[in-house]
Amino acid sequence: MSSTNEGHAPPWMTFAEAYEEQWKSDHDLAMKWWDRKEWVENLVATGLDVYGVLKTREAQWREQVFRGSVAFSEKQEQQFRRAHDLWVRTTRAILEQLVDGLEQQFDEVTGVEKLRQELPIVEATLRDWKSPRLSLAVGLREHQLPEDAAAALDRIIHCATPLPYAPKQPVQELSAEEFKRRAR
Amino acid sequence: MADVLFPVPFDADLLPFVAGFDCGPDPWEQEPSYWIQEHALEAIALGTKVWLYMNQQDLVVGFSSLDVSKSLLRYPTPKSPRVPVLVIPELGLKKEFKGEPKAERTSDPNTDGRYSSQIMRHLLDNAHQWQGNMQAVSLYVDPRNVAAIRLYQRFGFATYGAPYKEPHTGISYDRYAVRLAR
Repeated sequence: MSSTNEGHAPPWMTFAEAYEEQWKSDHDLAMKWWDRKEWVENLVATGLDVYGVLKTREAQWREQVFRGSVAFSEKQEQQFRRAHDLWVRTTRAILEQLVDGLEQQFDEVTGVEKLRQELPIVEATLRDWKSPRLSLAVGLREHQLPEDAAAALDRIIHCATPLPYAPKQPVQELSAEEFKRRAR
Repeated sequence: MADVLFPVPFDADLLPFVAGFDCGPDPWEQEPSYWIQEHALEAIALGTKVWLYMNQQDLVVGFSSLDVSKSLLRYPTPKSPRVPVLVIPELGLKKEFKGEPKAERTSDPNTDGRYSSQIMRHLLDNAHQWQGNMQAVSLYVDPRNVAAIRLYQRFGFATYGAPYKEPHTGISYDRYAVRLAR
């Protein structure tokens, strides 16, 4: 099992910080409306990109911990939470302080609807945060089979002895609704 | 009428129906009881299929699960292409239904009416339908769980390799597998 990079901020953290810095540093209220729209749309696009990266990396990390290929690290978890929190604060500020005014001038600000949809999802992720954990079922963990086990499993796969059970079409499944209606 | 089980795909909506699920007091019985209540949804989110089984009296009798194994079989060398294998991560029968219904017991896994055999047939039938040219179904079992081992052996499972020692609990699990007939 490998450990995570404990010493340095991971690239996705830097990406989230850059999103906040872009919002803070380029904020020029003297911009003309058209320039301002283009700048806000770039900012929104960055926000969506950062969201995508965070979502992917967090899902990968959770699966790695679950499969046992990476040990759970509190530091890594804190970094993920901080990155999500940074994204939420920056996105809220952009929507409230920039987009609302811009939308009174233009019919559409590209990407804003999607950003508005993502915001409550990330807020809920933070609010209901659950730490990932190693799978209790060892069969769901990831590991290389040792050579002796691989050889023995290969023999099982290529064995010509007839099997005691002849497979059939799976039986019909109940729907969840039918199950709930009947279950005692 | 035979007491045929009905499978239903398990999800978060059905969690209340496994509250208090109890396979028995032994450690190898407590693990599936806890798993279906506390861990199954995490596995489902990552692609594991889980089913509950209801009998003709509309009682939940057990559950099973199936997924692609992440124990990487590469043979004959560690750099050979990966051989796709399925795994039964967890399987559980409530303690009051173990060995039931006794009246429908036969020694033939094709016709044995016990719930445990019906669940195994459902799993193996689904394994044969699984996409990706799966070569075998594998599982890990506590060697003290003799009733489960007898069930697996009735369906052609054979042990392979040295046991897998769980690094945190120290429990050793025997590895079993059966090939998938094509």
